[in-house]
Amino acid sequence: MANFGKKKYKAGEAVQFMTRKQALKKLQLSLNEFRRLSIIKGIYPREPRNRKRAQKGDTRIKILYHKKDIQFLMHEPIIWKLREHKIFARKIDRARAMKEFKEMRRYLKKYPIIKLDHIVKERYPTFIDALKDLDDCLTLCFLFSTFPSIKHVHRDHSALCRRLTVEFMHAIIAAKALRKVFISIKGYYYQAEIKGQTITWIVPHHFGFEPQSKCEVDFKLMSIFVEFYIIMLGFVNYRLYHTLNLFYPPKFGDTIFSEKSLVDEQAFVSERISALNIPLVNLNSSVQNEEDELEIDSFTNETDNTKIEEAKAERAKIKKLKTLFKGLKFFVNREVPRESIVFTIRCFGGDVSWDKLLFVGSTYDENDETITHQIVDRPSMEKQFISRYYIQPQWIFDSVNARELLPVEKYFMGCMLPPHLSPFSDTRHDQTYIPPEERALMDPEYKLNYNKDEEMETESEDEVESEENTEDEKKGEIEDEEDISEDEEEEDEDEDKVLVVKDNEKSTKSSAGGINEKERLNQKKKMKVKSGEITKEDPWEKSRQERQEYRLREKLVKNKHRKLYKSMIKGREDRAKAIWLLRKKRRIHDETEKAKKIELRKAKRNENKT
Amino acid sequence: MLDSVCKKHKRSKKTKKSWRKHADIKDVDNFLDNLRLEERLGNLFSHKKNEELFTVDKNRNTYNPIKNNNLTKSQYRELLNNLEPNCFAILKSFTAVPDPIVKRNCVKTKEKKKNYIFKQLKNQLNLKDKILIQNELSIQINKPKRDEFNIDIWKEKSIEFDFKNGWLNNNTRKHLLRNSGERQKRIPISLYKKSLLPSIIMPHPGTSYNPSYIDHKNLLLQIAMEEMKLIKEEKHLSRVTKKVFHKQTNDNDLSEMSEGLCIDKGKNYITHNENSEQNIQSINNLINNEDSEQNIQSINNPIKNSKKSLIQRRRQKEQQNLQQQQLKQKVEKKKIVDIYHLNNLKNQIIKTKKKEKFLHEKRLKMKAKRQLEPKILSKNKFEPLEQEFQIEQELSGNLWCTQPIGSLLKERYKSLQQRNIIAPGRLVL
Repeated sequence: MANFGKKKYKAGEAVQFMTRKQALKKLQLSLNEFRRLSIIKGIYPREPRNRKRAQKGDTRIKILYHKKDIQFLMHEPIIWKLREHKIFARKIDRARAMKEFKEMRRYLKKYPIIKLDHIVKERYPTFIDALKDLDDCLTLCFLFSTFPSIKHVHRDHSALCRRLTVEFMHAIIAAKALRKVFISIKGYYYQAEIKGQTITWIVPHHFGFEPQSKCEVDFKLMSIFVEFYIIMLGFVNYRLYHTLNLFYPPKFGDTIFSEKSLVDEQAFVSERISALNIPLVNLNSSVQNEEDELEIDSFTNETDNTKIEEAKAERAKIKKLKTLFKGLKFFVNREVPRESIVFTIRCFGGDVSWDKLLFVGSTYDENDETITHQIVDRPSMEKQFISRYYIQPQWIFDSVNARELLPVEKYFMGCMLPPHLSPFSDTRHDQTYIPPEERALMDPEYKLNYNKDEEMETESEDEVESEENTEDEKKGEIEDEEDISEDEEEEDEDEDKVLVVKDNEKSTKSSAGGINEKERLNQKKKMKVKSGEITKEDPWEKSRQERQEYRLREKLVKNKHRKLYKSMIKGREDRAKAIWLLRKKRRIHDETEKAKKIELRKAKRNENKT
Repeated sequence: MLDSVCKKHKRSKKTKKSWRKHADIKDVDNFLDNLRLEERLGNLFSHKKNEELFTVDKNRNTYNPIKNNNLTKSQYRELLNNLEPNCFAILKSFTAVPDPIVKRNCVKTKEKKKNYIFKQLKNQLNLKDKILIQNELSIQINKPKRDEFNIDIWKEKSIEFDFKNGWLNNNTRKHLLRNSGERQKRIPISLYKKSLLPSIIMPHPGTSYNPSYIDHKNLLLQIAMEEMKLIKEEKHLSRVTKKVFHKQTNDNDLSEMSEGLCIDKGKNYITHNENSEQNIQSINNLINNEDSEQNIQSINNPIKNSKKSLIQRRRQKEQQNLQQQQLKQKVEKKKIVDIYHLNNLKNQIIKTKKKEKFLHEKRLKMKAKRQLEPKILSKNKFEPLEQEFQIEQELSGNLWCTQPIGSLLKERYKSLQQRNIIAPGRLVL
């Protein structure tokens, strides 16, 4: 039976959603304006649970928005600004068509600018929220800072992007917040930690601008994102500078962001890098910069002792990392891409300079004797100083990722570089088999026992030689050993005999004396004050106890989590077993190899002899 | 005599037009004419002396004041430049004799008509205008600049009264807020709900500019696997579509393609004729049959309301009762049997529960998986970006010679699509 009085698509999901066209009609905006508004406000299309119902019976796939979202957009005051824009554009168009250029200029002066401060605040109620969403913002801003003024990218935008990104980099330098750097073929990945939030961003390699084909990326759309992100980054910068007790906006001298920089790409880049080399002005010099050098609270919620220890160790490492390059003086050769290197070195407290004649902003000369490292990316150099190391740029990034100054030997000029490993890859679980060679690469403390092996081999060779020389003696030794073992056995037997004898003696004594006497003696023995004995702790007792407790704790695992727990334990065991197996394989392999080598040598020697 | 010489009529001087009409101004005109004549000719020649009338011309071009002097070319040009243009001569009065009517046709403009006090008042700015100008100025000065960041928007305001505390009724809160100049704003939760995918996916270690051997091989392997998958799918598609049609026999292709072409025209006609003859015959037969057999049965026969007899009714009732009893017995019997089947039932329930649990887990897994996948937002399908890589020959191993690969902008664009922030758009070619 049909349900009379109840029409279809009048309630529920059908009412909750709106197509884009409906939304446009409701907001009385054009498509471009709507796009801009929705992106700036952070309202995105939705996927309904049941598309047919949401589209009132239509099965074609349409772009749907939630009704509440559109209502939220409706209350936005910048809608009025958008409408003003429309009228403004019409006026300008008219003036241009009528060739009333004076009028046009007068209108242009009154260009309605849309303020987005309140939207930034609305989307990110706290500073931490903004930091959490900074990845996208930074990557896009760094990317757009490399763009010239093209059709949909306003020239102001790219200029502002340049300014703000340099400012942000300065904030990172001042805060010493950089943690990881990775050079990929796509660009530089940086990871910083601000207020406990890890922020990752990509900076493209500096190449000439490549025009994007229209079919791949919607430039207009991306520029709207950038429009919002610029504002956001500006406020984040302001806040960062003020928390770091620095003056905002920073001044980098007159040269940067001049008209010339807009024209000459190369000049712009060099000025941008030179800006990184300038120390910033403190807001209030009397106040010392409060680094977060607070100790970890000893009364933490964490019950696991090992975790606290780990956290403390991590902290110490980071503290050490912050002053990694302190006291080191670097000189960057001209063939090295400077921006990333200057940024990383400055982040960890080092001093940098470059060729005075080629680029602006160098602080000291190449002839300076106090320079400790010169960064070189060419196979050889004619003039070299003894007082400094000539290293390849990878050394800087690798030592940052390793959190200590790596030995420079592998990174000397013209050397074959060790691989640049990703600091982000999380594949290194605690339970994975690492071949000894790789382990030697990872931590410099661990040493390969190759040398040892070689020594051992030489020793063994010596032995072999000696063996060969005195085969007869060896035979004799073996016989001797056999004799000794026989002797020992005999001794053991002797001891047994002695014991038996003693027992016999006792029994004879007891039979000789009376029973009373025996009791008395016994009692006397009991009354005797004995010297106190230190109670010996069973070494296994403690671990046994712990194991028992652990098992009891295991039983307390909730039924809900039991399966998961079991699978975890199983996995751990499996992995341990796999590691054990691989190690064993390796050991066997090594041994066989060794044996083979020895045999080969023997054979050679025999040939030589013959 | 008097009458004939000047008989003065009294004329009305009422209108402006009549002011001059009947006034005798001959004497004035004469006088002025004389004056002009005198100006033109000077005093009467008879009164002048010879020296005044004649001069001895010693230079050639005396009348031209410019050419007269021996000037350089540049000086001469400058002088010419500074001379009054000839065109202005027409604007000047050509006599020195003043116009007898000083106020000729004087029309006052509206502005001139105004009283000077009123004018002064007018020059003073209206309060309203003053405010307007001030506002405009303030707008000019306080015009928002895009590149100025001079406030901390996340600075916490020192709120005197906490409107959000739980002691207030919702209506009271609204009222208080409205009167304090603020508004309660409800922000949709979707603003803070974000995709589970990170905005920047960590790079594969094989994409390093100087990767380790194993990492690089792993990356290449991963890419090769994906490529193989694609190839496999392509093969499958071609097998399912192209090759299927290839197998079809094309024996009757000729007949199919030549359908409607008159290759065997005569034959076709004949067949048509035969058909029509047969039809006619069959119709004739039908008519004949109708004539011969009169008793035709209708399709919907009339129903005869035949009553059941009493005996029949009784029997029917008995049958029905018996049937019901049997059914009841069957149910009772089933109950007893079910007790014995209890174990079986239990097993069944356990089985279904197990199945339900399994399905539930599966559904949860699918849901978790779907959360990481891009949603269907528009009719265009999202296509993920291919992983960038460089083969061994392309890897230079040093920073100086690294080559650009991929487009970061494209990657960002795809990432936004993947996180359901923008709907995948149509490719513009």
